[in-house]
Amino acid sequence: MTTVIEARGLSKSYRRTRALDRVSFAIQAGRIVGLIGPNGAGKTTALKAILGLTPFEGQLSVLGKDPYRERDALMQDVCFIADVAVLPKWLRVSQALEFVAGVHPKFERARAEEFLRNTDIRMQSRVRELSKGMVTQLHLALILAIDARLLVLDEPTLGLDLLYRRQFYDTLLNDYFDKERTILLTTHQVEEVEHLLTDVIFINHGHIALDSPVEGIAERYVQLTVRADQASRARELKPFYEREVFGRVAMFFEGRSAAELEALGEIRTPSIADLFVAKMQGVPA
Amino acid sequence: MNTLPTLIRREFWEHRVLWMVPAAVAACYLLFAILAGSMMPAEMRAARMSSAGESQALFVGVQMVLIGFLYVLVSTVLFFYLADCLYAERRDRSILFWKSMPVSDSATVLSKLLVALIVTPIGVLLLSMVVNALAFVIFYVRLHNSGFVRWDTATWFRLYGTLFLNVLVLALWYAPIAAYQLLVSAWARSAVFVWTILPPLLLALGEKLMFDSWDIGQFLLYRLSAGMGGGPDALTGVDHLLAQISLLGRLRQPDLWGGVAVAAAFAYSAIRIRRYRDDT
Repeated sequence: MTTVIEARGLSKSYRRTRALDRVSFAIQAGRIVGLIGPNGAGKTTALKAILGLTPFEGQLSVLGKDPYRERDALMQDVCFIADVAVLPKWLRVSQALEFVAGVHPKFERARAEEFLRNTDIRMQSRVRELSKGMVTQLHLALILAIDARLLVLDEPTLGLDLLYRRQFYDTLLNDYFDKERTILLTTHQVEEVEHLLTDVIFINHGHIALDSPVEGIAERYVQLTVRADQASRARELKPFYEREVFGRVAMFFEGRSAAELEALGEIRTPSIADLFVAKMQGVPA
Repeated sequence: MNTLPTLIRREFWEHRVLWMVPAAVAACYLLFAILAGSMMPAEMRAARMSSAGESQALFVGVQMVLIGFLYVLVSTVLFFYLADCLYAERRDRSILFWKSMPVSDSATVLSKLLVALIVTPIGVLLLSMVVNALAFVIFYVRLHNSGFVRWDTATWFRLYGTLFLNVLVLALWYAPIAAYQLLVSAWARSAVFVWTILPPLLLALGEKLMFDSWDIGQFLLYRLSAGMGGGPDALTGVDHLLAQISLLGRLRQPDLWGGVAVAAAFAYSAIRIRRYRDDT
């Protein structure tokens, strides 16, 4: 397995706040990694550092390059959608294709055109005439046609309705992703992406709270649901977070075996969304 | 893959005034030519030039009307273009899209300089070549082959040869102003026009207040006007006239090359700012 992104002691401070504090992680090729954290946790800062848009302290290597110093060359192999709003309003669809074809050596125009044929987007339309969902489709069409090795998505589906969001991720999985490619994405809608992630990185206050392959979560974390009157026995096993729902208590354990817990109630592997909430609000175990 | 031509075309997609204004002027001029032919007084139609030299000079002078008009208008358009081009992409946040492409900041800034200093002026000159020729055909037909202004192919080529060389000289001459505007456009967070005009204005006024002199102001005016004061003393023969129009002599002036060095410094700063600023 090749390492696509490697960060060691990555730090970044803005005037008063420390957006990233000596963060280290590695992302392998062929993975779909969700970078998940509350607002202001340092997600966007990490992505900007990876894309060479901001200076940083520490070591960071993306596809073997220093993203800050070798940005122009790196962009041949890295694509990003930072937000749906970034395509300029005056741009025509045909001009967007023309432009990318003109500057990107790995763009296959026919592919983008084929993708657009299956949408309601017309070649002569300007971006300002398209709905938000269509602008994202257009951006996706451009990116799907680029043979890049790393795709970075920062809240790509923000403000889109459910149909477009579903379609966006389906297209990404079916038409884009393969074993050579890597996707790194941030989103608030964890539930929507959790079935497609292979790895998760939780980030909070500039620190990494969890960095694990999705299959590793089942080994480390157990969610136990007990009736409220039985909660005290379970509490002795020191859950790192608990939450009461409809008179039952959901408890989250780290490093406890299922065998230990199943006598006390119902157990299951927590969903990424639940685990995220537990990790952000619970005390570190 | 041809990055620079694509970047240049991109500028004309975004800033359509760059070609719409000259096109509109050309259309108006031709319309005027059609209408003016029939309104011209009879004695003017019947007029004959006394010498071939005078006729040639008038031939040049008539063409310069359109060229001078386009020169003033397109300079104004380019002023607004240069102020806006690196600012607009930050205002609408499209800079993140442009930066997601494997295009260096140097290529981007260079493409904008080329559009303002070379591509648009050459395009406008080609346009005036065609429009002036068409206007002549119209006059020829409307005035029934009167000898008022005679077509002169050799002079026509000499005139445009001189003017093309002038574009290149003026590109070097105006490079520091254009690069300064790009620097402000890449730097200003708002009110680009104010930031463009304010520093030179304050410098000139400051000098007036402190030293009671206008040296800076005069220097700036000289730069802006390219030292082209007053019209040519007309009809003294085409060779003299073309010599007056030509700016090739400027290439021997050290201040032209000093300006080019300053332009390089401004452009380099604009590239650095676009590359390293982080506020999107």
